[in-house]
Amino acid sequence: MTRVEAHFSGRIGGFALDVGFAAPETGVTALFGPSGCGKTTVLRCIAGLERLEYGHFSLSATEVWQDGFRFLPPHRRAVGYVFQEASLFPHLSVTANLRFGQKRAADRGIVFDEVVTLLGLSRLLGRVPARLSGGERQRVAIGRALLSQPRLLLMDEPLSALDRISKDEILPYLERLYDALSIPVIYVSHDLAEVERLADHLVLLSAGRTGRGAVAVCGFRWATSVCVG
Amino acid sequence: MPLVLPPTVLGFYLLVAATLRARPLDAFFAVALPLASPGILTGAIPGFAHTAGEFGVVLMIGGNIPGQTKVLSMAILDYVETLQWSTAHQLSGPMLGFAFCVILATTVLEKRLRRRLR
Repeated sequence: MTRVEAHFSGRIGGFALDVGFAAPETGVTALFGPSGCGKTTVLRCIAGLERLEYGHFSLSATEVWQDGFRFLPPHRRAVGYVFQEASLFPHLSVTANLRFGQKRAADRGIVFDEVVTLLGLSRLLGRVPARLSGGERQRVAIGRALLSQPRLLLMDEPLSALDRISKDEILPYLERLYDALSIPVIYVSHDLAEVERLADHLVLLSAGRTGRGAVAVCGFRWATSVCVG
Repeated sequence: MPLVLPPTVLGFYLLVAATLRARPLDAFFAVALPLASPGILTGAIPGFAHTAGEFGVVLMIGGNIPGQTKVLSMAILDYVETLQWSTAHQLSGPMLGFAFCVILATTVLEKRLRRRLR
């Protein structure tokens, strides 16, 4: 069985990070831990936005993005990255934002109309980001990430900047999305309720480290936290 | 030069562009330049308008030939040097008006462009 394998270690600022885990190639893997434990840094490492002393990341045996010898720059990694804060380009319409990654990526069969329907974006297409609510912005950002035809979807607390009502509005979309998707998702969160609702697998993080050995949490189909390397 | 976006915000958008497969040069033209353009434009206007009051370089290069390369600022300088104060004053009036218009236009334009981006 192919699987996503990640191992990053090194210092960043005054913070020591040593994280390794393996996740299955399907479903949502939550990276869970308290604020400030390095979850976002791990995601940035996976996307190639951060480079630590030691890093290894592979999607499968043939698709290695980073190891001791090579380091693919961010624009050559097929990730969809949904940022915590508003990240839509303010000078582009919703449609142009959605198409930004799609135009530049090799087609892997993720279709514009399907994403628009799945995320309920049809009413928003002609607007500019300034005319969207927080929840709508995040839905567009998710759509844009998906349309960049990713092999892996990274979500960095996509709901944390939203109020309760926007969260409740967006969660059903996420659930539908994860059911429809066949690509792995790594979902960073410090909210246990969110993780319980969305995640299939769990990696626990504390103070820049992953736990050693398997960790099972009730209510998940199966949960692992494995150290590699 | 006034920038509409602080550099850190611009840097964040460049990272976002990279995660959407944009090569660095592509990201510069597709994201950084459009986002900075209001600042570039509103910075360029006073920059160019400033030359209306310039006389040193204009004199050296243009030669101050009457009817050909004699400009308003040069005319004012000539009148001041020949102590024709009142004529110099009359010519300075429109210059002042022009400066006011430029500042007004820049301010209005910048506000509009900013609003579009926010």
